[in-house]
Amino acid sequence: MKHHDIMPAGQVGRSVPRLEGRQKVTGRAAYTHNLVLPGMLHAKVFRSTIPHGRILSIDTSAAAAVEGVHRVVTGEDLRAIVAEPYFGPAFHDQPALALDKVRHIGEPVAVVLAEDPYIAAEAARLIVATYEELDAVFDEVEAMTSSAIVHDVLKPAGTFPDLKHLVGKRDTNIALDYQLRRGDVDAAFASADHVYEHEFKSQQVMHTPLEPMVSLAAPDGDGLLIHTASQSPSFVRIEIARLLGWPENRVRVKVPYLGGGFGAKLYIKLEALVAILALMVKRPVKLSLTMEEQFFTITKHACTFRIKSAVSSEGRVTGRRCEVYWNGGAYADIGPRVTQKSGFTAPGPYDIENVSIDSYALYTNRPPAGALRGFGIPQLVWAYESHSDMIARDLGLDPVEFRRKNILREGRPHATGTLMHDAEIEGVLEKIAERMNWSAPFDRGEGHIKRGRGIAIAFKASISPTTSVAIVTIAADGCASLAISTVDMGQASDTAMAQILAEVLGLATEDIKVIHPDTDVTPYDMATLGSRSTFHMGHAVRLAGEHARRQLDELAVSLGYAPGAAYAPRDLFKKKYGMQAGNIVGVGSYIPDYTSPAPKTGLSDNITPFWMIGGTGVEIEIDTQTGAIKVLKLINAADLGLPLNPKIVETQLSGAALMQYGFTLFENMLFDEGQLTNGSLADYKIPGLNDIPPVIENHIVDARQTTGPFGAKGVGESATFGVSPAIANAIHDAVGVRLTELPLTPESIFNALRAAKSQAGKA
Amino acid sequence: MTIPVSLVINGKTQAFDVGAHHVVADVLRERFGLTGCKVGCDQGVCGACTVLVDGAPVTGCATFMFAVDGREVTTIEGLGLDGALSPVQQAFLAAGAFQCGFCTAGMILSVTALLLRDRDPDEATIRQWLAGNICRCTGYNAIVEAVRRAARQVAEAS
Amino acid sequence: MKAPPFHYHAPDDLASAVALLATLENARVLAGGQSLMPMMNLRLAGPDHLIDLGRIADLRRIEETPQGLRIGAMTTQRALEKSDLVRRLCPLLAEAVALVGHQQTRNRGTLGGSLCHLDPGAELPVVAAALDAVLHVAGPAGARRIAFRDFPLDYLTPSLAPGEVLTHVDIARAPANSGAAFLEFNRRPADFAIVSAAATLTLGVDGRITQAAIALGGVSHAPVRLAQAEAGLIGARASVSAWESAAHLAAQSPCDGDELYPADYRQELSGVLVRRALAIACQRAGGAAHV
Repeated sequence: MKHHDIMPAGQVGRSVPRLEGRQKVTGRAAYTHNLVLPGMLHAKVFRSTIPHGRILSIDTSAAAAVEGVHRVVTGEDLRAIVAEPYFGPAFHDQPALALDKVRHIGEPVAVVLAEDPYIAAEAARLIVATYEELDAVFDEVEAMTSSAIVHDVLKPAGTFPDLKHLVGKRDTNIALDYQLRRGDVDAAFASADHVYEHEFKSQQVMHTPLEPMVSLAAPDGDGLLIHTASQSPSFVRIEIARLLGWPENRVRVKVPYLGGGFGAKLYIKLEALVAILALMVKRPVKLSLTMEEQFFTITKHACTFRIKSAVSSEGRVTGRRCEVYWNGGAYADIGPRVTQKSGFTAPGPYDIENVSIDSYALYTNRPPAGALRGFGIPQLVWAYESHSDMIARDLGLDPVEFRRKNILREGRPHATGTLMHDAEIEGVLEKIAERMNWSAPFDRGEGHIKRGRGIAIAFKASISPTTSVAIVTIAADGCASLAISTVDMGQASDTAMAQILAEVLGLATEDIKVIHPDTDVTPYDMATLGSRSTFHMGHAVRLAGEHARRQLDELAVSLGYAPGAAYAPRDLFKKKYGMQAGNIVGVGSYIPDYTSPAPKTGLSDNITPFWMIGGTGVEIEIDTQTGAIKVLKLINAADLGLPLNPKIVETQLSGAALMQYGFTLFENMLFDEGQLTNGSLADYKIPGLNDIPPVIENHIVDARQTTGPFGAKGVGESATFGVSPAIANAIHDAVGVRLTELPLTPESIFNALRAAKSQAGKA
Repeated sequence: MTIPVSLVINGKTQAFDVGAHHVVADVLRERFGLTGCKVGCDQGVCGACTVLVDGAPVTGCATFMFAVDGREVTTIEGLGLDGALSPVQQAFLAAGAFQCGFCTAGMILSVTALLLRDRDPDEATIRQWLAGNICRCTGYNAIVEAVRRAARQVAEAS
Repeated sequence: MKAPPFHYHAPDDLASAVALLATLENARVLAGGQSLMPMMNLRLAGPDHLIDLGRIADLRRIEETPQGLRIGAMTTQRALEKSDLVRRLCPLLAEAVALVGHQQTRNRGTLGGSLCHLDPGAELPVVAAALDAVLHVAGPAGARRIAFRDFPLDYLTPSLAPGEVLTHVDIARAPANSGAAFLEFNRRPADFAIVSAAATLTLGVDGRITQAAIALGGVSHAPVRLAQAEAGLIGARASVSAWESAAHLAAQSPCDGDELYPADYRQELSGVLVRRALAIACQRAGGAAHV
């Protein structure tokens, strides 16, 4: 692996303004949301009103009779095009429209096609379905043993060797169980000075990107063109081609800008349905979800985490057992990967000899859960960083000092056995402590207003192994174009990748043309997720640029230039082709080294190509008369290696933290017997400008990812990790009550205060 | 049922028939191709559909088209002159006050309206005024910075 | 979601509006649309006819009267927010209207629309309750007045007879030596209130309370006046213990709740808000600071 040195002067490390800035401030940027094609039909989905049941009948006659309705389609109708229309990135368990059963309220059961979306909506309300209701299960721990079985048989995708053992399994809601065993936890508990055991719960929430999910498929010759707001165009192409039994090159996927993604727009969401519909009616079909329908489509895993630690009197954690139950909802989506790839970080960024992890992906009759910024890490951190503070307080240790005693340091083995490198856990912890003025006395308020402060630190491993490919084209006048399937959803990947290429080619970033994903043109990329693009696509772009540069050098030499002499590319082309003609094309392909974890132990000596480290510090104020909580100060710090674009990195930090802030204090999907009761932004509150802390700081900790492109690595999720436990720790600091379930509402704080008061009264 | 309406959109008079139940956001986007206005929540909460009606911010998805008959509507496409950016647009660019860009048009229009009313809004006023424009991406600080920048620019220009 | 189709009517005067409302089947009036539109989009309302009151100029005014203020039903919340008359004659209304929704909704939302919609979390009905507003209504049988306390019939249901339209609202001016306060508790500032409290106090020359009104929102389908607490304040000296007694009664007042905010929590909040609102109202009335 090439060793990249400290920040070069030039393109990388410069706060280049976003390349698409002008388009965005003039409202001209392209989104699938805006796309209209001639002859297009709008699709409106009819959804299940029961959480679990066998479909007895679907009466579409009234809907079909509405004037202006082109066609009404059910799951069985789709079989005419695709015999088994089931998709999913880990399991092929999700039907494009319900077949045989419905497994959650809101599941798509039928679809109306019409030229006028108002008519399609009216007609969809006239569809009537009858079901034989089955027992439903909604809680992840209950699902472990419930007799309500969501899927009669498990259907892992054959392409993954680590899921093979699940094929054909019946009578279970456990889609995956991941385990890690290191040392001997039972012995550690037996011999420990102190043993602590706690349970923490995270709630189901939704990303609510402001551009709701939208896909548009159109027949294209003997192939298919899919315009979609997707973070994973290459995956869409492969999966749709698989469903249709076609070669990849008959499916073309195009992605403009996304109006937010955050993990919601991954793998297959609407694409399978619109693809099949377009082939059925031989016209373009657009499906645009409403904000409310997004809640039925993909969400964040609710989670129960039981954590038990063996601790010495000096405050060293010698053993930790983690049992994590992930509420995957009705369809697996990427849940099994969350269970495994995040599961192995469950003990936290701590140096613990004896570790046992059991991480379960459960099926329930809730809307499906999948990837949401953080990919399971925030739920884990919620538990282990609350737990850390509880241990520290009980032992009379300062929370920062306790962490100093236990964090993983350079070269030490992580729970998986992988040695830690380029992971500034200490740097992040110390930066937070410094910015919080942690060693100075803190005023905890008086009267009914109490103040408190709290911190949390955490880490995430980059999903592995994944592949990125990039193509660089040098035109005859020397300008460069970059073809990549990385999706710019606001994280400024276009700009960052252009900066890397510009650095390699000695050009200005602003002069690079970044071609948006079009699978006819842009090569394979695993997906834009998990903060992987800076590292993986960054390397691919670097390699492609270096390849192009090498070819230019070779061309120069072949044309008589002395090796190492300066040249202008345009002169080379002119010389070679007699005029302004021709191209040089550079290709870069990157997949990191990786060792798959051993099935029984979960151990691996190379579990991830890089670690992301994030930490949070907060100061809060509580009105003890009402339980109202105000966060006064929010400090975010992260190790992201070298910031390719410092200014953009800062908004990534504050944006990520604010999103988790919303999940911590406001957001919660509320259910009544499986029926979502608050699936609209009027009831499901997300943070507005008036809701955020008055002071927010974002700190880039000095660090280098020595194996990363120009020392850089991912940052998109890092500031989400510590927000929830930092606030809960601050609440405890302020008023001495410990909340173990999210969200942290004024009412739960108030009730905890009242309970504590009556306990004290009894004592 | 259709209703005839006549109004000014971005400085140009438009007279046409519209369905009684059609809302401003849909008509602007579908009939006039003014897709800077976005439909996020479709419930009047997120502000991505904000347009100016006689200079005041209004939720396009929650306003029937007939309600703006005879008025002046300004969309993001109507800001700036001859391809030059307005001071607020410039300030958003300079401050990098956007990420995915979906809320940006509504946000810029709300800020434009604010600065027409209050040349130098304090922090509390800015937060109150923009409470109805949700951004899921940025964490808002850069947006506040953009408002201050724009206020300075407008003050300098006058 | 898209609103279902309807027939649109835009009468130029009140008499035509009343006639249309009385004769058309499944008709509703349209004020600012800020409550009706989301309901229509969610299919909670599906009128066949919408009668737009926007052209009736008469309905949009803010006037000073000998008693106080007369406000047309179609006056926008934004107009109320900006009005010097309102600020001067009815500070409680000025304080509360700034908390309604966000500025985009206040540009179109109206006083009449909010009062007739009667959302339990809305601010303006609570103000109307505290001030004993008098509602003027026009219908096929003629015009009549309704005291606000008699106006709410049930959840989201005002006691308007078929064909009746709210035309204007009379509010008494704040007396000399009086103060008022409006407080609400919500998760986020722009939300509907979970619980809200409006309080007005008038102090006599001897510092004793000569008038008190306390209204709570969010505890029932309609705003609730705390008559017992009010009675207890008359003749009392302005003091922390006076506020505590009133707050205690507020916290005991029967209350509805829901899964998200149960009744007992709302009762606690009621007590806290009433205590604080009275202290602020007293301060504004020129009394010594008692918080």
